[in-house]
Amino acid sequence: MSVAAACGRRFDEALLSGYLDGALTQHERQVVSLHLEACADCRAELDDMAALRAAARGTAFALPADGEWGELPRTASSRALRLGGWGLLLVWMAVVLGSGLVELMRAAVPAWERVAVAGVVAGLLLLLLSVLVDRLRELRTDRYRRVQK
Amino acid sequence: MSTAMALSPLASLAVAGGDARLDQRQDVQNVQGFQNDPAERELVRRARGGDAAARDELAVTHRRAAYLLALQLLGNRDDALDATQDALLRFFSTLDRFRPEQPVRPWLYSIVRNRCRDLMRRGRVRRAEPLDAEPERWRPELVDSSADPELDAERAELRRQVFTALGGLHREHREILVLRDYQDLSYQEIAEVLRVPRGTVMSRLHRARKALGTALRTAGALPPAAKAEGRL
Repeated sequence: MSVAAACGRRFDEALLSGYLDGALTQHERQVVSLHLEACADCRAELDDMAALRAAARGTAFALPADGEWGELPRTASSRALRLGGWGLLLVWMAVVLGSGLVELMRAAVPAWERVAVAGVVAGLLLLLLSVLVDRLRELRTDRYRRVQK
Repeated sequence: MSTAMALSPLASLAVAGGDARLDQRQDVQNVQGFQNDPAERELVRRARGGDAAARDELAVTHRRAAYLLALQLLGNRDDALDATQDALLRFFSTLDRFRPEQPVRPWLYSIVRNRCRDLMRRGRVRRAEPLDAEPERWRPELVDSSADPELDAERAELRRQVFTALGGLHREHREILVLRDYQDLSYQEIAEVLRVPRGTVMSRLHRARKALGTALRTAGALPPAAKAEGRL
């Protein structure tokens, strides 16, 4: 606990903050109080900390207007619906795109048209895949899952 | 401590405005953690049971506190709104793991703090510019006013400078200063939110206060640390 200090202080400097916040034991408070009686440097430091704390406490911030809060948190049922929506969308895309590609291959169209259509479809699929990968990565690295009491 | 002690100009500014030098609260307040409100407990029980009205009430009750914490940590109102919404969503999605007998605020504050940390780590915070360059976003309002406009202006300027300097501090220092000096949490409550031993709170807080003072002096917002003789 004892810390060498130029002013002769024989206690941990952090106790000054504890003293300011009223967080010390009676014995610690007496030790700090006695030292402050004799040490102008520590008194000055305490005064400055008190002033900065007062400035912080006196600062008020504008709150958002009622309309700015956005929607209220979703419930479990709405999350389930959203998950179901994603699932249906993926199935629909797989069916429609798959059948479309099969039709394209069967149809008598020039090769360059097949390549062009396949390129567009592949690009869209890659974009969708990147979104899904990001979502999955977020789920895996989600720190909030461990936030518990 | 003698009442005849001389005050630094900075401290005089605070005291002249009616701010006490020391915390007048009882020590016991700094030993206690968050208190659980029976009404809140009931609300959590109902929300866990799927009561949409209870969820809405919980959200409305706590969103302001969550927003203020996010704003003080991020310094940008749009980011703070996003972080608050995300934190509330996270809060409700983890409600089944939350014990109703526990108070909501430390849980929610932990989520807000984690969300803010994530935003800062990913560099998604729109705080690239100094705060004072965004007056429309950073709008601290004076809580009180005295009959002395000059004193009011000085105190408002000090508040602005302190908050701006806060944004330049290390994340750990900023967090603990926000929780203690802006949110006015007790040491025990801070320990619960940050999940650190209570003893760590005092030492980290003191280092943070010193860092804040140094930052303000470096920015020219405070005079260099004066020798004791000069203050007396």
